[in-house]
Amino acid sequence: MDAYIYLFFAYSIIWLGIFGFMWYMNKKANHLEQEMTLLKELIDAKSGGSVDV
Amino acid sequence: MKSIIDKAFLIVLLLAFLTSLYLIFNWVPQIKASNSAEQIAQKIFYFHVPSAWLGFLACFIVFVASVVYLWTRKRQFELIAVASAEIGILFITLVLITGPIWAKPVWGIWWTWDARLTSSLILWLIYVAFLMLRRYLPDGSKRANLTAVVGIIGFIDVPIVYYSIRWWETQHPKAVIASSDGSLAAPMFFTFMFTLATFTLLYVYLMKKRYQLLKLEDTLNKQFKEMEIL
Repeated sequence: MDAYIYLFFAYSIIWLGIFGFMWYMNKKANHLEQEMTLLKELIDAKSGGSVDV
Repeated sequence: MKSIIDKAFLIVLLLAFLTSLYLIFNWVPQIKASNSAEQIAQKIFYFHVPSAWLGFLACFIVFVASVVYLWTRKRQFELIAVASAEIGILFITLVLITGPIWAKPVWGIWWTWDARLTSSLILWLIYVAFLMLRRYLPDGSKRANLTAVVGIIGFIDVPIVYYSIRWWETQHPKAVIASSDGSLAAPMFFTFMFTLATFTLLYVYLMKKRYQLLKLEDTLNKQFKEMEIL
């Protein structure tokens, strides 16, 4: 019975690691998207028109 | 079109992982072991060894990208090295966690300072140092050069980790895949190779995503700097 707990524990850690990293990348992508919007706004404000980044 | 390919790749990856789990828990026969705990814990092997393989592969890519960066001074190779180092740390961490989880029911202890375990821990520390250097040094060629040198020197530990079980008497099990006696039964070998291929696909997926993000982050930082100058 104990061995099953270790097995469950090992596989849980692996999935946690893989999906945790994917979640981290997703969070990073959202943050970069926000920064990109901010940059577009800044460029628009400076140029006085709509500019694609 | 690009997002469709990305989604298709992710679906293939998920199916491959589900197939791997089916093979590990329903198809491959139990090993002959002295106790049931060892039989059950042996299932950890199918994810533990591919995680180690990914760790080694990631370190190799860091090494190659660092050499090419020092040769060409192209920023993209620095970013490839960083992306691979992050993924490498993730999988070496998983190896360092799942190893002791296997060891406890089989050896009765979580950790021992034998050559394989210690050299693996050192490998993890080297790549943590690699990322710490990048995180805390100011952006510039000095940082890129220094991290590239760490990426090259750090790779020396990979063959030490791999051959440690042959060079020294260790508690860690001997190699069963690349050994001359070929002691792995055919279904176990197939399951192992399938899982190894799945993990390699995962590396390709994570690497592509992480590199794209680093490139975007780099471009945005440059744009913001230019805006500050203007």
